[in-house]
Amino acid sequence: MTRYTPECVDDTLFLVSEDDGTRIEVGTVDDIVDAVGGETYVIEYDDKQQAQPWLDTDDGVLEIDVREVVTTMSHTEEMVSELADYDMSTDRYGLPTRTVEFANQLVEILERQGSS
Amino acid sequence: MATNTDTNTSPTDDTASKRVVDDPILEIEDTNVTYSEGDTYVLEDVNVTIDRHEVLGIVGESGSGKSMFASALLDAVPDPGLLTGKIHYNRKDGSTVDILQMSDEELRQFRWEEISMVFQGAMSSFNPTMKVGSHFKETLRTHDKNVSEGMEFARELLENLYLEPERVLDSYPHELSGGMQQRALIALSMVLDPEVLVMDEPTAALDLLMQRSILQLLDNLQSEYDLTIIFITHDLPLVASLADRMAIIYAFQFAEIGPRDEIIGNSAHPYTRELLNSTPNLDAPLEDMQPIEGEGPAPVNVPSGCRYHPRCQLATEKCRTDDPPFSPVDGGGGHRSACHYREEAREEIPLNFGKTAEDFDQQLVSDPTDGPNAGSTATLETTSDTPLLSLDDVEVHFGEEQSLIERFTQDPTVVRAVDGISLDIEEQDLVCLLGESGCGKTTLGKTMIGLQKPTGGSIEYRGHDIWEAKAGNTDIPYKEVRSALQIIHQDPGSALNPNRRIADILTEPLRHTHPNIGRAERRDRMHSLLERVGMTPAGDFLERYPHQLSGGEKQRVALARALLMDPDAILADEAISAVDVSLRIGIMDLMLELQAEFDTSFLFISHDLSNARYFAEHGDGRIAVMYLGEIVEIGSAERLIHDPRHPYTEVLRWATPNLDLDAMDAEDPPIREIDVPDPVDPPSGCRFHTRCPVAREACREEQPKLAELDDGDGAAACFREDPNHAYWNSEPLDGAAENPEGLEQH
Repeated sequence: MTRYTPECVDDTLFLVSEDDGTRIEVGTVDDIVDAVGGETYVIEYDDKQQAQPWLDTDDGVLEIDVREVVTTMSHTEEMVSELADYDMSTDRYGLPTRTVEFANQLVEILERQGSS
Repeated sequence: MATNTDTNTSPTDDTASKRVVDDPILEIEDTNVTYSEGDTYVLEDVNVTIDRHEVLGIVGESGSGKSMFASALLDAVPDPGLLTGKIHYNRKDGSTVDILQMSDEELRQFRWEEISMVFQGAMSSFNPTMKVGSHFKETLRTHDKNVSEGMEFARELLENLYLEPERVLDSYPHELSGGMQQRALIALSMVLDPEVLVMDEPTAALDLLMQRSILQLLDNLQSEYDLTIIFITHDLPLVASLADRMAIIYAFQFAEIGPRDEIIGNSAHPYTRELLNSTPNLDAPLEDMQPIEGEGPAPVNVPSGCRYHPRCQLATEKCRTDDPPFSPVDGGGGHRSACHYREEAREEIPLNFGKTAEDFDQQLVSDPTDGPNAGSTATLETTSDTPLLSLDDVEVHFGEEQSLIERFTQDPTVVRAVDGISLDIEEQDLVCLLGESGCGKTTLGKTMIGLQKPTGGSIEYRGHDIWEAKAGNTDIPYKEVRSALQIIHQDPGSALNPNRRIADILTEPLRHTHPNIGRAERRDRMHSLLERVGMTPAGDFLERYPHQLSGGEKQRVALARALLMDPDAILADEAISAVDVSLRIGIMDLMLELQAEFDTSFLFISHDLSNARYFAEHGDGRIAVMYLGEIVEIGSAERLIHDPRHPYTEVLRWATPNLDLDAMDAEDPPIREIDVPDPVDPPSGCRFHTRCPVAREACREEQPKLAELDDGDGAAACFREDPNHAYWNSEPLDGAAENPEGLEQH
C-alpha cells in the first residue's frame, strides 16, 4: 500500500508517493484552510470516548490546527486516486475543484472521530 | 420498577450461579442504573458472578440495557445516570475491592490496567491527527508505565492480531481499514495487560468475515494472556462460537444465564428460544424461522409482571401480574431463567435448528434441473424476453479521469470498484450481491439502478441504455427510468428527512407518480400502504416524525416510499443490517411479499450469507458473490451453501455463524490473509489467490473466467472446476493446502 506524504512548495501542497516520488498537486494551503472552513477544526468526544487513556482533551474538546494537519498528515493511495478525478483548473466556489475535494476528504477523516 | 422482591435478588439465585463459578473475578450484586431521580431503570436488580478466565457472552437487542451493564462494570455510567449496588473485583492476590467505592484516582488507575474495555463506537475515539503508535505511547505514559517495554508488548499484541506492527504503529487511524482499526483498538485495550476485557459490540461495524476472524483471534488472545472476556452483542450466533457461558438480557434485566450449550440447546426462557428461532442462519429450514412480534419496551414503559409477556406466545394472567424469579433451572448447574413456564417453553417452542442437515441434503440430492432455481444457470444469459436490467461488461473505475499532464509517471492510480461484470436481471427477479466491504457490491448495485455511471460497458433498462436515456438519446424518458429504479439505504434514519412528517415524506413520491390525484386519495393510498407494511394505526404513524419511529419502523417507511414510486426494481443496500435480529426475518418477509404484490425485482446487498440465503431461497433468487470488483460465483442459495465451488464462497460460509453445537467451536479461518488486498493494486491472476487456502502458482499467473457449472446451477470463476487445467500440476502457494480437497471439510 503506497502512502502519500505532504510536501509544500511555495505554499502549494503536493501529496508525494513514498514509493516512487510521483506527486499530485492539491492546492495552496491557504485555499485548503478556507475550504475546510478556518484555521481550527474542533472535535468533541462524549464521556465514554474522552475516558480513553490516549485522548488528551480539554473537557472532551480537541482543537485541531488545520494548517498543521494539512502539512503533516499522510494519505492513502485510494484517496489520491479519488483526488485525481478532480481537476485543478476548474473553479468551484472560487477554488480549484481538487482543492475543495481534498478539503472535503480531510473533513470526512476528522468527522469520523468524536461524537456525531 | 418491578416491586416483586422475588426477582433477580433471590438469595438462592446467587448460590446457584456460584456452583459453576469456581474463582469469581467479578461479583455483581443488586446492581441498578437509574435516571430521572430513580424513577427510570435502565439496568435492574442484576446479580451475576463472572469467573476468572471465562468468556461470558451477553446478548440483548438494542435498548435492552446491555451496554449499560458494560458501563457499570467500569463505573462509567453516563451522566446523569445513577449506579447503585455492589461490584466486587477479586484480584489474583486474594484482595477484593468494591469498584463503586473507589475514588476518582483509584478508578482512573483501575480502568484499563485491571478492567479494560472496547466499547461500541470506539473506532470514533481516536485522535485523527496522531499516529496509532502515539496512541499506544500516550496510554502507557498516562498510566506511568515503561514506554519502551510497553511498546514491545504492543508489537507482540499487534502481531498476534495478524497486523504488521511497524506499519500500523506508523499509520494514522484513517490509513487503516475498519478491521485493522478494530484490531488496533483491541491491542490498545490490552497494552496495560488487564485481567478483564469488556467488549461492547466490538465488531458490529465490520463484515462478517472480519468479525469471525477477530473472534477467532480473541479466542487465541484469551488463552495466551489468561484473559476474562465479557463480550456484549446483539448477535447471538456470533458470540456463541466464543463463549463459555451466555446471558440474555431483556428489558434491562437478565432473562437467562447458563453454560453456552445449555442456552443454545436447552434454553428455558421463551425469549431466548424465540430469539434463536428468529435469527437468520444457514442451518434451520426457512419456514421455521419466525420473527418475534413487537419490540422490546422503552425504560419508561416497562410492562408489569414478566417484562416479556406482551410478546410471549405462552403468556398467562400470572405472567401479566407476577414478576418471575430469576432462579435455577433443572436444580442448578449454573443455569438460571426468569420464566414461570420453563418446561412449557421447552415443549411449546421447539428450536428450529435441530432439523438441519437432512432437510438440505434431501434438497441437494434432487435433480438440479428440478425446482424453482432450475435454469438459473442462465444468470449470465438473457431469456427470450428482454431483461429488466442488462449489464454488459460493466466497469466502474475510479481515478481514470486525471488529465494527461498530471498523469503519474508510473501506472495511473485506479480503483477498479467494478471490473467487467455481465449480468441480467429479469422481471420480478431477485439477486443478492454478497461480499466484504470494498468488494464493489454497493457500486455495482448503484450502477445497476443508474445512480453510478459506468466507466466501461453498458447498462440497459428494458433494452434502453440508461445513460443514453439520460442524455436524451433514446425513446424512453429518463424520468421513467429514474422512478422505475429505487433504492433503500442501510440507515433509514439518515434517508428520511428528520424535519418532515411521515405523511409529507410519502406524499412526495405520490405527487411524482400520480400528479393528478386529490389530497384525499393520496392520503388513502398512503394509509393503506402503511397498513400493508405493518404500521398500524396508519393515521397515527402518518403524523409522526422519523425520530418518533424505531429502526424497524423507519425501514418500513423507506420501503413504503420506494414502493409508492411503482418501481420495477428496488436496490436494498444492507437494508436490514441496522434492524434488530428478532425483527430481521419480519422485514425480509415483508419485502418478499411486497415483491410479489408489486411485481418488482429486488437487488439485495449484504455481507451476511444467512440473510442472503433467507432472501434468495424464499424469493427463488440467486446470490452473486463478489470479490474485489468481480463476481466470482453465482447461483441458488442452496447450491452456494451446500456445494460452494469458489474457495471464497467457502470462506464466507465459514464466516457465517451457525447454531449447531457440534460445529460451533470455531476453527482457524480458512484464509491465508485476514485483510482484503488494496483495491488500488489488486493481485494478479485470480484476485483471491493471496488469501485463498488452495491457491497454486497457476492462480497467480492467470485470471479464471466466470464459467457455468456442468453439474449444478450458476457459475464460478475457479480453475478447480476444470479437471484438465494446469492448476492441478502447479505448486501450492506459500501457506496453501497441499490437498485442496481438504477445504471442503470446513
